[in-house]
Amino acid sequence: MTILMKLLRFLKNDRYPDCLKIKGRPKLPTSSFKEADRLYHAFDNEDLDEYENIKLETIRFPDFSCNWSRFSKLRHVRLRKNGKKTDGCYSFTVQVSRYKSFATPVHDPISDRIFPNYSHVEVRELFEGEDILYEPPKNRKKKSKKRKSIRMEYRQNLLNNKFIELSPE
Amino acid sequence: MTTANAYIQDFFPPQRYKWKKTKLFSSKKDTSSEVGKESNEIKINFFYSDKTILKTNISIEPIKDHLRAKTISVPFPVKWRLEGISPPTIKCKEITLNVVLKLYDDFFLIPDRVSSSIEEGIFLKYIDYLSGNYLSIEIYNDLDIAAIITNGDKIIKAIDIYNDNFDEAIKIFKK
Repeated sequence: MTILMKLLRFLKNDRYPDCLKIKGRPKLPTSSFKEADRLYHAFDNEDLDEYENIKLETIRFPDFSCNWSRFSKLRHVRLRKNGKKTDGCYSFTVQVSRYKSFATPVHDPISDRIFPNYSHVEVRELFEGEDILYEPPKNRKKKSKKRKSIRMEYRQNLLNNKFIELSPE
Repeated sequence: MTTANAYIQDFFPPQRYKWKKTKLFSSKKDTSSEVGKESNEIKINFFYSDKTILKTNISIEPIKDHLRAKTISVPFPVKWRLEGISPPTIKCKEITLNVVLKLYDDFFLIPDRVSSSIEEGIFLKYIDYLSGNYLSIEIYNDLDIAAIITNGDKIIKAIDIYNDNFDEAIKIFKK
């Protein structure tokens, strides 16, 4: 059984895209993002409304997980935990992710054994006075009532400026 | 609500707070009933020949019933559960129901969509077909409420709701 598992892992690893493997590459600072770089995010049919539009309530913010276009291809969004072969992909620019300086993308490579992802990026929330080049820590969430409408505005703007690259199958 | 084997249109709404004896099922000789109205419900008591009584309520407000059912049974995607996202809590559903009924009573608004939110709460979407405005409301598990009014790709206003006061949001939405 163990040998079979190892063989399966070997075969899977063999087909796994090189650009997603960490290969000792360092985590990049926030200043490495170019405004025109794109961030890819997976979605499926459940995320669509009756008019085939992505629903606002399916967009998570803060800590929105994406793949950085510089190190990945569109279809690579499917290579993740709980990912499906039928998943679609939409994208938005780094400039959009920095809307009104509410948030900024942070490079956050995942060194998982099955799904390593060097291109992984988290869009994290910035608080008042923080620069877009500042790197907010993981899982930081301000419990302020006033932030809720700001977050909703941010998510709506992201939705308005996204581009569907790959439709779900 | 009821499971009574009767249709609401089968009998006339009785006068307010006055009980009226009505025979519901003429074919069944040993079954009689009392129909009365209190607020928004009709109460029916079935008296059987063996002296047992079956008490039921029928709501005469199907829209409110529909809104209640839609809110309480809001689905939660399995994939979110796998990601560790919490489904809407009972309290969140209660608050959402109050909001939905308030908007229906005060402004005659019926949500176009009621769904769970990835931000842990319930999402409501209203559409004003005259202006083309969309009103999206989120009620979170921590019971905070936020709303946003949009028209196409234009964000008109994002508002935090305090003390269940939707006046400003509705004013902009209906503009």
